[in-house]
Amino acid sequence: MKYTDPFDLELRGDCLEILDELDDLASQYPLIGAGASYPDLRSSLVEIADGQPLTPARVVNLLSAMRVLHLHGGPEQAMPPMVLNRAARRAQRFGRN
Amino acid sequence: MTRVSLAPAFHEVLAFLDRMLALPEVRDSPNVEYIRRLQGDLLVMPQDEPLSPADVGVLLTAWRYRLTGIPATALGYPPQPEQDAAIDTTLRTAGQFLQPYAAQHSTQIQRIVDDLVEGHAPLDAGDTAALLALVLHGLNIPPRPRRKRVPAGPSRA
Repeated sequence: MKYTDPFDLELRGDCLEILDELDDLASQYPLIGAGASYPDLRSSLVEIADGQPLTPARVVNLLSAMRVLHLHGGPEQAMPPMVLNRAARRAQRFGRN
Repeated sequence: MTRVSLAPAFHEVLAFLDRMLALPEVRDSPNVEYIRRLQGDLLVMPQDEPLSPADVGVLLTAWRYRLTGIPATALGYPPQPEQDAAIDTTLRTAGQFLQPYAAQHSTQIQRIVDDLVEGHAPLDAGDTAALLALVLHGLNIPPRPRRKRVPAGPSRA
């Protein structure tokens, strides 16, 4: 399945962003890169970015990657831009109401 | 191959939102309906089947709140630049003070203190308790120097 709508593209872009951050982290902390779950996290992010179905296993790995980034890199790094943008848009919408 | 379920992740975020909705700051906030809708959306999502990208978006938003807390603006509170700046300074200063001590402790303590340095308050009661434990027991405060006792000598009188 290939995603076509803008929302899907945002998600795929976010996965690439998280992947970059994760690789960056793994280069700083070799223990993360050597961890048993690291290849799984990485491959799930690549698959989601590639438009593969969002199976529970892939989504669980996506959430785990965010948690790893949060634990080691702080809140900003853990947040994909899509999530931040959507939260801001929602806040604006509710603010207007 | 073991089948992976999203149930634990859903359970975690739903429990978090439950805790948040019990807080007056969230329960009485202008955007409380947004948090309730988020919770409602999560409740009807499949936990053992592939999700739609929109579902994942909702889950990621809730997950983000779980990791970093719900920002005041998302709750609909008006921005208060002066107060925010004061809180931010307090958090960062406390974080910078505690950072050398946190380095001697677990990654959880280090993460909480690193968050403080970035201006983020403790996320929940557990984080607050860990921070208090660090302040109460984790600071190596040098003992006060004891006053030297002068041995009683022969009286000059």
